[in-house]
Parts: sequence; C-alpha cells; structure tokens
Amino acid sequence: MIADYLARNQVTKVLSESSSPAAEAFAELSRLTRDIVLTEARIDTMHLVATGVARSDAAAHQMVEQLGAARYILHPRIAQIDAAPAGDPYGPGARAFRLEADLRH
Amino acid sequence: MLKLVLQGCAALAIAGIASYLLLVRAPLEQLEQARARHLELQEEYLQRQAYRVNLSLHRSQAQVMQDLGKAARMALPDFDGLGAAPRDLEEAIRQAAQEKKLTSRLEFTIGDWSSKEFYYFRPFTVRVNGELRPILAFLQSVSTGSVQLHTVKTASLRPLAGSDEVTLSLDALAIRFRTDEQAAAARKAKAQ
Repeated sequence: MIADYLARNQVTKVLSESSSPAAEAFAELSRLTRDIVLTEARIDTMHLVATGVARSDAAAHQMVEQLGAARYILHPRIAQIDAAPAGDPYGPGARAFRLEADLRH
Repeated sequence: MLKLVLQGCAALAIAGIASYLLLVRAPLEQLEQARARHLELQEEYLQRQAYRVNLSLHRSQAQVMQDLGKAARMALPDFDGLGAAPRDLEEAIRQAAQEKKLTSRLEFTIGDWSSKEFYYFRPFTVRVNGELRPILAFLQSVSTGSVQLHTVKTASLRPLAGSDEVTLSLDALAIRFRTDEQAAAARKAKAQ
C-alpha cells in the first residue's frame, strides 16, 4: 500500500508541476487597474501572452511592474506597443500592447 | 559352550546397537531439531518484542496510510481500460461547471487514451462562456483543484462581444494511473 501511495503521489506531483497554473495567472490579470483593457489572454503551458489597450505608456509600464510582483507570473515584458487604433475610448494617448510572461507554480 | 557364549555376546551387541539406533539416536536428533527451532523462535520473539514498543504507533500509522491510499486513489484513479467511458469525464467536467454556476452551453470534445511509462492520458477540450469569476473558479477546479487529476496545456480567455462575459477555451489532459502490471504487460506486448 505504501509503495502504491508513493508511486501515485510521485506521478501526481510530477504532472501537477507540468500543469499550467492558468487559473491563478488569469486571476492575477483580473486585478489589473482600469487603465488596462485586455482583449485576449492566452496561456500555453508555462507561457502567457496577453493583448490589450492601455490608457497610456505609463499605464502599460505600471502593469508590467504590478505583474512583476505577482506570485504566479515571472518576467513580464511588453513585446510590442503601438498607438491604439483611432477612435479608441481611451483617447489619442491610448496604446495597444502585447504582453508576454512566463509562469511559475 | 564357548561358541554359545560368543554368539550370545554378539547377539547382545547387535541388540544394543539396534536399541541405540531406535531408542536413543532418533530422539536425540529430534532434540537437536527442537533446540534449533527454539533458538529461531527465541530470536523471532526478541525481534517482535523490540517492535512491540511501537505497536500502538504502528497501528495509528497504518490507519493514516490507509486514508492516504484512499486519497491517492481518488486523486489519481486507476486506468480502467482503453474503452473507459468518455462520458464519465464529460459528466465530471459538466458537473464542475454546474457547481461554479456556469449555465451557458459547454462544448466538450475528447480524444483517445495514450500511455506513458507510469500513466495513461486522454486529451479533452472545453469551451464555455461565463462571468470572469466563476470561469476562473471552474478553470481552477479542472486543473489544480481537480479531484481527479487533470493537467492544463493551454487556456485562453476572450471577452464575449456585447456582454460582460468571457469565453474560456481549454486544452487539457485527463490522467489515470498505470499500475506496474499494466506497464509490464505493455512492455511484454511490445517485445513480442
């Protein structure tokens, strides 16, 4: 019984570590300020890509700082940032961005 | 006369030897065996006596191990055959969605079982709409909070146009335990 328990425990432990902490990472994203609107967030195993619009450059950088302090998100970085399409509700200073980060358990 | 005396002596000697073999030697051998057995039992007794000190501790540990064994079987169930009902998995996922109050239609697809050395896995996908909070709770219940082990490969969230809801698309694996016997049988089949 002990051997069976240890074998199952080992498999469970290894596989749990390879499972993406997607719910936790999305929860971190949901705590971003209202200066950020995400249009898509995608997690592929331990890698996160999110696209959205920030009210300004400063808001985008503040987002990176906030996510940098998050428990499940590692090395957040802006992979791309451009002016948002004309007519964006955030006005002419709005920035469309693509955020990338790694995840950790 | 002398001949008779000598024959008598010889008969007595033979009778003495026979008596020794029948009446003394066999019991002596049995006695030796009994002594050896006694020593074995004495040693076993001393060993068990040493364990006796921890008997109550071992009894409580056995109960804990039984509980752990049950918990491990629940977290990582046995694989129950290649034809294992996909409906069970689908029902479990739908039930998790229902518990998280996700009432929209849940799209569910499932692949075939494959195996690795120590486990079987079966890919499945889920697509469901809902408010962010219950969607995240559902996602957590499918992955880290799962009663039966599932692992998440990819997950994406998109706002649902014209509402406050989001769409969750999920690729995941259902895992089942592969026992030593199953792994040995697979190796044997592969070798043939």
